[in-house]
Amino acid sequence: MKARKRLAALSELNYLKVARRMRIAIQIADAMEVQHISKKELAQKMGRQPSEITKWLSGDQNFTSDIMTELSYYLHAKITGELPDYSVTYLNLSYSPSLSIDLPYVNVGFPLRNRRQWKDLSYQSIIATEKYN
Amino acid sequence: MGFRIVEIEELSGPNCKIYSIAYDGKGGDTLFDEFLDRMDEDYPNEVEDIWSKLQFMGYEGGARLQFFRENEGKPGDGVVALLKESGFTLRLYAIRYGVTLLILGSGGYKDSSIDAWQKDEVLKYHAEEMIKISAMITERIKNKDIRICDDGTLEGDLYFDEETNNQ
Repeated sequence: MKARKRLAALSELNYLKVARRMRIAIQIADAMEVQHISKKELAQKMGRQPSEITKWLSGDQNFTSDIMTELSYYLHAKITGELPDYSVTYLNLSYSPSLSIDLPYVNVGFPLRNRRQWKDLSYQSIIATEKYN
Repeated sequence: MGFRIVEIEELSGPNCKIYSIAYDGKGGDTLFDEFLDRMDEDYPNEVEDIWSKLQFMGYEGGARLQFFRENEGKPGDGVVALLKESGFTLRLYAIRYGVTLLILGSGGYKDSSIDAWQKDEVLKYHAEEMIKISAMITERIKNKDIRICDDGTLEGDLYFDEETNNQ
């Protein structure tokens, strides 16, 4: 369990880099579904191999801004890797006495290290998320 | 030797529950810990990425199929591989039940000259281990000894005595 202890203490920066790649991968997959475009078709449009599209969808690709522009162009979608805007939800939560009710469905924008932190999400966490956004 | 399905609390989140397999006599270490400890020295950056990917699935994106290589086991058994590609490939085997539940096994380094896990002794061992465990879990689910909740949480008898199950 030595490695797990090291990894559990990783900086949030590492998570943010990986999470952005994976959000982009999700946005691509969702846009492909909406546009009814297969991997093969997207690869053809972009002059690439289908295996490259598979890699992009796996969340392993470090996307350049040019590739993201191409993807947005061919998929007619905003491929940004940014978090959805949950500001309204946060505002409601911040001033709601029933703070805990909606929490499992709120994306707070940074990794929580364990369940206790998730359950103990406080006003401070919400402020931190707003700063991040 | 028996094993228990245990939750990896650092990764398990509201969007995907993440578990691994802890064999008796291993001091609580899981197959996933074995993978991390074995790979961490030689591939620390890749291991960090795998960790963050799983954390993302737990807390944000869920275990979407697009993140995995499918059909690593028998048809319909849910055995998949999480890949980390960076000129070479690390493979972590898992059993995936929709986007909300992932049971992690172990894995290893896959040389680019090898086209299938069956040709690598280490990968073969870990893939077959997950195929066997998947079959045992499926049996428990069929018998209603294990239940998968809507949020991916496993409930029921999560301890397996392998000798009993192999009879």
